Amino acid sequence: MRESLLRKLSRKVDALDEGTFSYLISSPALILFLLLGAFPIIYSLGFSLWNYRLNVPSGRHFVGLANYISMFHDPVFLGSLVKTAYYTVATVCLSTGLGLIAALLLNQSFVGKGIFLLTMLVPWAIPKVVNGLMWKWIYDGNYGILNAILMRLGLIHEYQWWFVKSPAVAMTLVILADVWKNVPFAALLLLAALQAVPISLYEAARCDGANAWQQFKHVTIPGIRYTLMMVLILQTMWSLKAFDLIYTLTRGGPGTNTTITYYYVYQQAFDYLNLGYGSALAYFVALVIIIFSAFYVRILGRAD
Amino acid sequence: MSRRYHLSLVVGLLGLMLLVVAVPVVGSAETSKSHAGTTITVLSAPGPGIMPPVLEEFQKKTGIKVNYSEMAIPSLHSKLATLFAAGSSDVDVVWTYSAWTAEFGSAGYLEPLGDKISEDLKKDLIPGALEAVSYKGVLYGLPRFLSIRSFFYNKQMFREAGLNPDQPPKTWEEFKKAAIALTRDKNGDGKADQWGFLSEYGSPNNCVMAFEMPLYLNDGHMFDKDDSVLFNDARGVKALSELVELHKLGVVDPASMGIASGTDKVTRFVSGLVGMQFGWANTYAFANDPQKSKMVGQLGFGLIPRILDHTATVGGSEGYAIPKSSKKKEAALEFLEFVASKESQKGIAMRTGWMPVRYSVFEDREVQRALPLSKVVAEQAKYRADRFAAPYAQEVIDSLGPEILAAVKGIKSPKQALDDAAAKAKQIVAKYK
Repeated sequence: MRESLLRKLSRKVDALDEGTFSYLISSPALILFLLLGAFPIIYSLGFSLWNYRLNVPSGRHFVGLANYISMFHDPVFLGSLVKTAYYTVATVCLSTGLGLIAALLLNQSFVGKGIFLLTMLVPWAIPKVVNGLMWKWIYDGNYGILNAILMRLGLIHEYQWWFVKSPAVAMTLVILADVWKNVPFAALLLLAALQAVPISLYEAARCDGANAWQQFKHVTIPGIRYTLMMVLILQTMWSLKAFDLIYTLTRGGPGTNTTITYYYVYQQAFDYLNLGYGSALAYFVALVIIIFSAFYVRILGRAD
Repeated sequence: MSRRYHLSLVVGLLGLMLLVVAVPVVGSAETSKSHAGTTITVLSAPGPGIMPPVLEEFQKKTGIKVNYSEMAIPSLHSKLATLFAAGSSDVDVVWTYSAWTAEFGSAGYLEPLGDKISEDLKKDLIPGALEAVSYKGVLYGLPRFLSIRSFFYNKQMFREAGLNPDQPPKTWEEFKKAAIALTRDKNGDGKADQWGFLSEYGSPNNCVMAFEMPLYLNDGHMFDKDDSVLFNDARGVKALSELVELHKLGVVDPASMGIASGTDKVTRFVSGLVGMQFGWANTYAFANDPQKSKMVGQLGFGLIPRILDHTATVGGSEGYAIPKSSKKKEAALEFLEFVASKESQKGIAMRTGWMPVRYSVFEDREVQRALPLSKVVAEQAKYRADRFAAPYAQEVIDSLGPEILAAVKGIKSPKQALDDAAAKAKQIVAKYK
């Protein structure tokens, strides 16, 4: 009886066309995705249309698009957009720029290149949370090494609490910590791209009388443009979604000086348990990231 | 590879997924009725050395098995909120303090315990400890230790500054004079390198605690019972002005700007660069630990100096509560009572230095001998020990904290800072109605 059932099943499987069979063997992954990915995404879309606070169960009610409208009247959120823009532009430009300089240096032959390359990898290998805690100590107003160095150099006369100096200083310090971690990634990708640019192109350029800058502009950049674009895309996505560093280093403070949008989403959803508003904010950030991705993909397509 | 091979892989994976989903469901279906043999799950905030011996003794005496785990406070907050909202019965006892008791108690997630606790126990509990587990007169749990701020000072620095180390300041005026005397330029470079007072502004929570102390000393309140803002009234403005004045006098340690936790504060205080602070009871152990402290044997303590005719302080006690959704409430209550029992309280106090939650344990000679600070804490506990707690507290704190900072940095006047914070607070409270 059991055997015949198995045989029946086997025959049915054998009779399936390729398309249906592909769906069948992909089903575990699809089920997992639906359970762990699609369901929360759709469910949280529902949250975003409700006044839904975990700590005020009696006040839950449908509000339609009110959460989406109120975010544009929320000064902290609007401020966070400006800070996120500053943070993103600064980290992307600095990480990519310094990464490119490091890649150009590493593309040359010099003594100790291997050690330099290994040292460069360290920031990338450090987990983001550890990176945040490390920079917290570096900037510390009691024992921080930054204060010690500046004191030795005679640039300051007493230890400073940098984060309370001004919003601009606070944000700049966070950006520096992020750039330090991200430069190696950009450098390694760009180095790989540089090594793939044919030497013959440089030789031809030199024969045509091109100087170093012209070689860089007309040979190097076109040769690495695809990788450069990838680096820009990834750095932009990471900067827009930055959370770990802010959480460990400043918690968005002092005040809201370093509250970038992604951290504000976390704060609303998990500190204040305001799932409705938090979900609406998260959808807004997702929309911005999708727009950026589409823009970059379009440019990449053209570059190809 | 054959289709049958692929299919058997798929079936195997689906089976594994079903197993993963089913096992916790089967495992949680415990139906024991007697308390002995029951397993309760306790979710707690960390507290080094506090709970392990208590858990061991509880399990030995009651036969109730405890599945105990600790989580960092921010993660624990969102974890509990999710469990409560889902009506989960997976957790039977939860850690709490005043703000969470207000937040989760008023949301209806915690079991009111007022009629389940004996009158004898209630009478023996110190109000400063009960504030951790009560909100608007409803008792939602029992405290695990008492924590209220006391006045601490460095006796050696008092002597060096010409102050009497055996007579700590009793009034705010005396406190200010001592702070001025303690602020000194010891290396002669024209700048202070020793300060009178250590405050705290490294996080919104710390900013608000710094403000709460003079507020309570001035008989002020954060909000009234109907959730109307009170912190910007005349008493609030006077309180913040007192704090700002300390900064204008130049007696506040600049390190105060980075103090974002109790550990930050006590670590700085025992470095021997600052003369006075309002701190938790763990200051005693820290200050007398040669590995951590530069002021071993030099710690003085007393009541918080008064601004009006009485002292007052800020509370930070911790406790445990029972979720309404727990299916083992009786065993959970037994756990709460055991933690608050005289034996457990004495053990916690002797082992960790955190103060007991019961008057009767404060009277214990052994406790008094081992913890000289207990006498001062017992006296301080007779006066108001408050802590801002409400369902909306965290949001208000996050907007009030930066305003306090703006006032002490001289960017805004105390009145302007508090009025601005009050305007934001009104909007926040409205969202919780």
